[in-house]
Amino acid sequence: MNGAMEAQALPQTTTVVEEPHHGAGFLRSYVFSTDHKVIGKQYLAVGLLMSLIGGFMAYLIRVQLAWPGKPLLGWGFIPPASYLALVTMHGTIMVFFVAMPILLGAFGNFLIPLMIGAKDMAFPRLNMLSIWTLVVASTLLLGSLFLPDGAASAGWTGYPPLSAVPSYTGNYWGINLWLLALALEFSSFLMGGINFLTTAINLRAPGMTLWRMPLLVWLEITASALFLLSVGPLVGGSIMLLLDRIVGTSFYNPAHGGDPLLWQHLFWFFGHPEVYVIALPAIGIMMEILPVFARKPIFGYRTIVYSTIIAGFLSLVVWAHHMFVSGMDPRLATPFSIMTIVISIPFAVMIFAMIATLWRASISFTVPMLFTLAALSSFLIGGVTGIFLGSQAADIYLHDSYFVVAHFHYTLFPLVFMGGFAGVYYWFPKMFGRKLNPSLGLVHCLMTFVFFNLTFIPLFFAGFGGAPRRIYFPFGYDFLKPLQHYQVLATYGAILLLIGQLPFVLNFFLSLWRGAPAEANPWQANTLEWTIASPPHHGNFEHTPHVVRGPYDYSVPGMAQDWITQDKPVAQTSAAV
Amino acid sequence: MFVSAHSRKLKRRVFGQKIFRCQRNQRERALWKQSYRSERGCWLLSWFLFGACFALHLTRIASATHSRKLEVQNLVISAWFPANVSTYGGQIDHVIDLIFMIVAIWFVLAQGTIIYFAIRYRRKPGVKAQYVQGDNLKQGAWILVPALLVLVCDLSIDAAGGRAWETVKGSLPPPDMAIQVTGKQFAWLFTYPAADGRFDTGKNLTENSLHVPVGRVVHVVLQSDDVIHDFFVPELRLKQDIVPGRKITAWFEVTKAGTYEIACSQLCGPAHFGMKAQLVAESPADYQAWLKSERSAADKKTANLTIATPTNG
Repeated sequence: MNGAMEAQALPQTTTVVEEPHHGAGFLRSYVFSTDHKVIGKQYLAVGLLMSLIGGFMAYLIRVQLAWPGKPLLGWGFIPPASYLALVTMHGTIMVFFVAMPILLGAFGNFLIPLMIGAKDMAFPRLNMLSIWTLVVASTLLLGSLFLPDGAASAGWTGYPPLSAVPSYTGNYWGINLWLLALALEFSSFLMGGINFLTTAINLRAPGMTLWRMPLLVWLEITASALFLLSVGPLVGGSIMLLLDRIVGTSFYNPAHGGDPLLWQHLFWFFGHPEVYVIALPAIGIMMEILPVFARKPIFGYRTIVYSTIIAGFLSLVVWAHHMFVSGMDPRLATPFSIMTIVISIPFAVMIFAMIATLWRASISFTVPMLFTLAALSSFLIGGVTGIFLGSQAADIYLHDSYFVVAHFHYTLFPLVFMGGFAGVYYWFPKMFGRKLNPSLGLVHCLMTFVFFNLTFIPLFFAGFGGAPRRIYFPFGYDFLKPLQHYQVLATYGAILLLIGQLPFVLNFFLSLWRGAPAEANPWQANTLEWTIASPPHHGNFEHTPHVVRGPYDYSVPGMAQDWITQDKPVAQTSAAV
Repeated sequence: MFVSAHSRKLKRRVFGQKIFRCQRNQRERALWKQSYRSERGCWLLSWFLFGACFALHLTRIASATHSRKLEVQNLVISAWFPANVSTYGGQIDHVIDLIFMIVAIWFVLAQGTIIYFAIRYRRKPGVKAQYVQGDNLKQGAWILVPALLVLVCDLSIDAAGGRAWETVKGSLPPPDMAIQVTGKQFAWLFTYPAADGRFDTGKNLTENSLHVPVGRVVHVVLQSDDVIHDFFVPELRLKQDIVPGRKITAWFEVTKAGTYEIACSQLCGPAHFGMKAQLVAESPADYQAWLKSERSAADKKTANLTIATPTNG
């Protein structure tokens, strides 16, 4: 009798597995979907929406800095507390609610299963939970903007005691909601990271060995592993801060035996790897795009993977370079400085590898490639200016100045936005089945690159002049007065940079509905996602692909065409030799 | 000659097809012969750069050991800085200039290479890209040797930075005088010792500006009443966070009389931007005169207070 029941049950289960979403209603297919592609697009939507808000905040900040005290177009007068809330929210939104959702959430979710030949993520329901946790976190954060006592205004780093005692900042629920939103965001990406790692380790198609995985997958899982390793202390730290605020404990209160520096250690133990959590996926996107448009293999695939892992480990032991002048024991500075500057080596290897990929290439300057080259060139400046801040002595003068602001915008903007745009232009046909308009894309790319540099190069010089960051009123100190023209120049740059994003918004929505239909492999690329229809149907692969080669076999000598997808055996084309 | 047994093994692993390998060997041999000239150039350039960095490093060590109080002219980037007026500011400027020179060379080389490659190897009809994987040591050297050069530069930066750090923050020279600095939302208070040099006798002098004599080693003992502040004087090249619950001592020696601004450089609340004070550096004689007049003014004040409220005494 049992046997009969099993025989009856079996066909039913198999049909469910074969057609996971067919026949599902609108809500299950597009809103509460467990399909990794839909979730990836949802992450992209959250990230792009939040970037509009974060960008508008940047506009408000910049205008206040250039023409302080004047009522702003589209806003009005900004009081000091609101200015600090804007600065805090801009930082928090851009790092946690734009960079991570786009680079990890969107590209990781959409691409990891497609690139390794899997039908979906290892834990599809957990995946859905992670995106909706992020949505709740975003809602809490945006909701805190409308509180009567204002949003969190203790800086995105939230150093206690400023953030620990409500009377110091004047916001009570602002910082509480900010901490809750961060905690939820962390748990969202913890779930995502577990999913990424499990998927990439367990669900690879036959023949997809670790050394045949596309670099983006390698870099996404290294980033996820880093996130898993580093986020724990900060989650603990945030809970302690929340307890200090609500219950009145004194983890960070020196009057009752607490230590304000504890938070800084916990925050930066997470905060520095966090930079790499954002940077690595972006570099991965660039490394996927470079070989395709250079028509040759990425230079030193294994060297890049090893450097990535080394950079990841090093990033866990450099956090105190954010704290050289914080009052920690001065003997710690030099060891941390050495570790920090040594991190330049794995990154130099990655950058040199990208440059060497261009050697004897056949480069076509499509929009994704232009964005990649723009990101590479700009990131170079971000990288080399990091050496100034990693050096303990130079940091005494440059710490917490506009030099720092310019430096981290030069690392994060090229990676998150230029790298992210490169990825969007490159995978848009696969995501939505339509092509983006290349002319609008070209305009967008040029405007982004030029105006980005116009915005942030002046800030280096403001930093050289000694201008401290987070200063509401730039005429407060006499030594800031001669530096004001840098701020004005940067503001013009920022406004133009924001205007420069209009072609993208236009292009995105026009192409979404009116764009030219995309074929399966419009860029003639090798990785597995291009072997299936654009956009891929539910379940991705009709037959599980059998991988026979690495991802970057472009221009292999003796072959008629200069590309060959990862699942094609070589014999059929080189038999003549 | 150019294709070692190791790289053959690697290729076999990658392609696993004999026929393919033979063809690749011939082709690659020809190509390496062609590119040998440019390769030699790369190695020469690398060694030249290596030597240049090393020589630069040696001269830095030599110049820094000659005199601890290094006074150098504004060379490169520090031309944009406010004029330095502390004994050690020159050393910090020196480190920043050194880093600037090193990273400027690297940036120009890397960016130049990107632009050159982008133009030189743009897509042309009939020209195929060359299949280079960079997976053996011979080819990998093209990125590993420059990375080693980066290491040499890194170490020279660390060495220079370590010395400057040691001067500014590491070992504090014996003080000629000490002043307590208290930061609180959003003001500075400067407490001068009583005439006998002590802080605990209740005869201290508390002021809103920091007066120091030129040419004397001053210790500032930094304390905070509430949140974290930061004692920053751009002209001194001194920046030090002030953590509540700790007494952090920093030092400086001003070389030039004048009035400078003390800024708070760590976000400390809504009016953070207005938290400022003046640092008045004057000749030792002027300083003593100022201290005397302030002390007598303060004595008068307390005397008046005690007369006005005798019941409290």
